[in-house]
Amino acid sequence: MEVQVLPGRIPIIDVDGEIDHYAVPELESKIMAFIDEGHASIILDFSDVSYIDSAGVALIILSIQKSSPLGGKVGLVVTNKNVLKILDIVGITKLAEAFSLYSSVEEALADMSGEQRG
Amino acid sequence: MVDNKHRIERRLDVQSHTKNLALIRNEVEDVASKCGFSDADIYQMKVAVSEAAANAIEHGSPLGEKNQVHLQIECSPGRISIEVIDEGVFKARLPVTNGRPSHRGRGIFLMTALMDEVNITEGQEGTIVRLVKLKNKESLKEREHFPA
Repeated sequence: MEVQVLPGRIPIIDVDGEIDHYAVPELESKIMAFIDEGHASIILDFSDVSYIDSAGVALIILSIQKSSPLGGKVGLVVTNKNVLKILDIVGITKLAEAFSLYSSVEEALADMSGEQRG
Repeated sequence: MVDNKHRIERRLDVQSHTKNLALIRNEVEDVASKCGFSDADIYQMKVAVSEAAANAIEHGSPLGEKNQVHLQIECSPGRISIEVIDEGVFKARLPVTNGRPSHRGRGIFLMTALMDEVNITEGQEGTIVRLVKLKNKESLKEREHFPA
């Protein structure tokens, strides 16, 4: 797993590889530290994530729980259909508030920037 | 390892550590691919096996990394059976969340959602999680209705 943070008004946390029980602790500390620094809204770019399991799902929920009380929102970019299926099975795609699923970073930025202006 | 046209059997014993989950998933992918399962099926069984192995590492390894997790894979033409065996002693296992979202219950839920059969046997010498996936489920159903 590789993690790259692209700073901006809505920072993008770009993750590549496999998000499993081994990878999550490192990723979790990075994301939580980032939200703690005052970035209520973040985009998790999982476009290049090839695998996710329950630990990754828990991490997404934890990010939402951390961001939401600060008035923020988590944008999740997923393109891999197998990863989408896992998110669908656990019902995370139905968490409409404080969370949105996008098919590209551009789409996420356009939508979330618009919401912040409004 | 026994590889032939009709049946593949493989066993893998790894140190009980989450860094080995990828190794376990790769083994499952290799066997399931040789057995002719679809990419979607292979992905689903990798997630299910990884969840079972993560359980074994976190809850079925009283000596931590000194314990091992054992993987026993058997593939016959219509089905694959994957056993994940730990070295833990039997005890009631309740999810402990400490206010964090529990992925424990979600892991077991995922196993049952992704596999055709999930069987958990708790014994004195360890827990065996047996995961089964059937191939070509539609054609199997047809065969049941229209036996040759």
